[in-house]
Amino acid sequence: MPARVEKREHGSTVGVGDVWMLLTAQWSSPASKRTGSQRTLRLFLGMARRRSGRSRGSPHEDAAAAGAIRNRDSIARRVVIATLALALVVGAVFATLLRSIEDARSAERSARHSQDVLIAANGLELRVLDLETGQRGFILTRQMQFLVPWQQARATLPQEELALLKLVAGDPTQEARVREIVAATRSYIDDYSMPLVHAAERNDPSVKTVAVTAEGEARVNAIRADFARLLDAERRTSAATARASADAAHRAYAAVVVGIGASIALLALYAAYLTRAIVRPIRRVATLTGRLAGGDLAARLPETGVGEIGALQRAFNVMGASLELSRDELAALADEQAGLRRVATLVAQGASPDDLLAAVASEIGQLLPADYAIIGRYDANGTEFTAVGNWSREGDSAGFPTTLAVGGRNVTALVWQTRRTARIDPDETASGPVAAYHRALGVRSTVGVPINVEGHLWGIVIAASTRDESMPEDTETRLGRFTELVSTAIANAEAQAALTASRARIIVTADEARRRFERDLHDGAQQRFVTVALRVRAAQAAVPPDLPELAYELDHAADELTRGIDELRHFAQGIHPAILAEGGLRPALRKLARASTVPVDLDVRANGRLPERVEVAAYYVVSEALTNAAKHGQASSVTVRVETAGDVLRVGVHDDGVGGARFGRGSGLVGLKDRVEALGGEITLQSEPAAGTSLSIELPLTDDAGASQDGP
Amino acid sequence: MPTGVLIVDDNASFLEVARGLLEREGMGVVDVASTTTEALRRVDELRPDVVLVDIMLGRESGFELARRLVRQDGAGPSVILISTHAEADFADLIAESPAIAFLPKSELSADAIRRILEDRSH
Repeated sequence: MPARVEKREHGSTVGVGDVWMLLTAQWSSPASKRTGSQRTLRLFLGMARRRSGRSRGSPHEDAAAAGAIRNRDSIARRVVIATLALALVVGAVFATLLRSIEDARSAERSARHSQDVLIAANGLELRVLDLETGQRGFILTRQMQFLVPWQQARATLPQEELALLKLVAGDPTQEARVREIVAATRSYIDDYSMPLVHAAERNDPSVKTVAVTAEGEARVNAIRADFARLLDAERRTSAATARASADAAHRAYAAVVVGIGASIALLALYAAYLTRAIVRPIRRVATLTGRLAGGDLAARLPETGVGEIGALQRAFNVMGASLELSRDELAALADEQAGLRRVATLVAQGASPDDLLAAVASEIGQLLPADYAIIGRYDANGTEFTAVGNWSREGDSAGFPTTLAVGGRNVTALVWQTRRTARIDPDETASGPVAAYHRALGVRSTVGVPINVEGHLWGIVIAASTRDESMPEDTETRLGRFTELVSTAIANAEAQAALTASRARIIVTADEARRRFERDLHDGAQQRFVTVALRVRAAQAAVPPDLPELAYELDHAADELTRGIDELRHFAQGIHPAILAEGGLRPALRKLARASTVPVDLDVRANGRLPERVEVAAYYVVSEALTNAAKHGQASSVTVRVETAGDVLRVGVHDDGVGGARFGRGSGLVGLKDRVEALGGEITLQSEPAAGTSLSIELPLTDDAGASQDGP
Repeated sequence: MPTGVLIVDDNASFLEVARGLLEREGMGVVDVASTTTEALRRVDELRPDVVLVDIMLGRESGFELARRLVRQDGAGPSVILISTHAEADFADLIAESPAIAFLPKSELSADAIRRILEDRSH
């Protein structure tokens, strides 16, 4: 069978039988037995496909969008086929009906013909009877009046015979019977009736003989018997035609009933098919589209539809998937942007590198599918790296080692060697202390991105995963966005630290210079002048009594020298308070308090010696504050509180003066502010008018500011 | 009353002048020293009555030396702190130290030392 239909190319390759198969396949089994009907459907479709002479599209075309519809699966095609089937059924019904009507009409014609034959035959028979009765009357009465019907019958007989012959023409049996009747009638007239009438006219007595009469009766009876046969046959034919007509009418009725029933059934099937194949799936698509529009991007359709509906379902699912993907990508991007913004905010706020690196490790770990995020710093020659920021998904980053050797084959070594990003996938082998440590954590894959600061490789950001699959391809790029911020922040922090250290160095160096100058002055000039003064006194003692002028001059010289020494001492004290170096902050502040013109309540709670720069700064703060209180504040008393708290020194100076002091305005407070901030400390000034002045400072006791670690 | 004096100062020139001055004024200077260690040794050896200690002993502190010279039982020598600085410059430290007095270097004389000793004995 396929061979026959395969010859039909590009034509309607699905026959009526196939349509019937399709329809029965769709509804022959309940919905729960879908597999069976679908198998049938596939068989049907497969059949249709096989029959199609078209070649398949190229692979490129096959890979086209999900919305592409294969022509043979198209619902439009099926609808056309179903419509054609319906038209065929309805056409068949009407054809049958037409044929039945034609049959009925033909039967009617036939019946009318039979009736005509019967009438004509009856007429002819009557003429024969007229002949016989006319002839008998004349013979018996010899009255001519009886011959009138006889003559009339003789005159009309040929016409009526011809008419009957015409009527039965086409029916050889009946025609033969009619010819026989015509022959018998002729014979009766010519051989019997005519001679008999002539004889009667001649008064021949033979005409009244029994024999002659009997012959006439026999002849007429024979003719009537022929008529009886003819009529009988014609009646039979008429009855048969009537039956055929009734049958045709019956058939037409049946055809109409069956046709209407089949049409209704087909229409019902058609409507059900449309509902099932189009309306219901479309309603479902509409519902799910609503859900999709409402934000439920996970809504998906079963891709069970055929043709356009299947394409619609596939396109819907592709749309949903791509929306979901876009939303996820957008969310991931937003998360990353938020993370970057948080880090950038920290950078802008000048957060400490430790806080910043911890924050970056945490952000990276949470954004990437990573179980660990580590930020490490290389040493100068790349032999070791020190973890300076850690994050773990389990939150137990406390167990991270601080320093590991870089050697072997792992991301820290690769990044150091290549100065580029590096990754170790799960199927790659890694070695070295870092790899061993990662293995101990269960890490399968790692990605490392270099952190370059001011053109040199500063450190590395590592994202590590314990999963079996590799880290995503964009990991390097996403890490890179953070490392740029980290680089900036570290460069900033280093520049800031360098600046702070530089400022502190300037202050400390200046202090040291002043102290050294004071010391040199003391050990040198002052000492020498004192020695000279003593020598003058010795010379004074050795002056002979007869040289009073010399004694006077020497006395003067000694006095001048003493005054000079005092002035030099004041000068030296102004350069640097010797007592600070000698005794520390407490006696130095007490000396200031004693020297102050405003009464000072001094409370120093700092035991032992503090870093020199801190002592010097605190001394100058108190000194300046006391000077201000006396000079500008018009204070009547000053409170000075000094205490160590943890690793800071707090100094607070409060006076009850007029207030209104400000940094700037050429006051010594600006210098104090510079000095305190240079040492990494904080200074606050509260000096509302008429509310006194409070100056508070906090100075770190540790070397965080780099005042001495990067010393000259 | 012959008094034995030990002068401790890191300035050799001053030591020479001070020694000469005090001796000329009739005060016995048993020796001079320029470091803490040397001073302690001399005190142990020579048992001076008075030790003049410069507050600024180079890298060492005269206050520290004073504390080490004056024993808890009072058997040690009397310590007089000397300096080119004024007494006010080191007031608290001088008050806290066991030294019996402070004498500015420019006012150094045998009479000044005697006055301090006399003031103390009264």
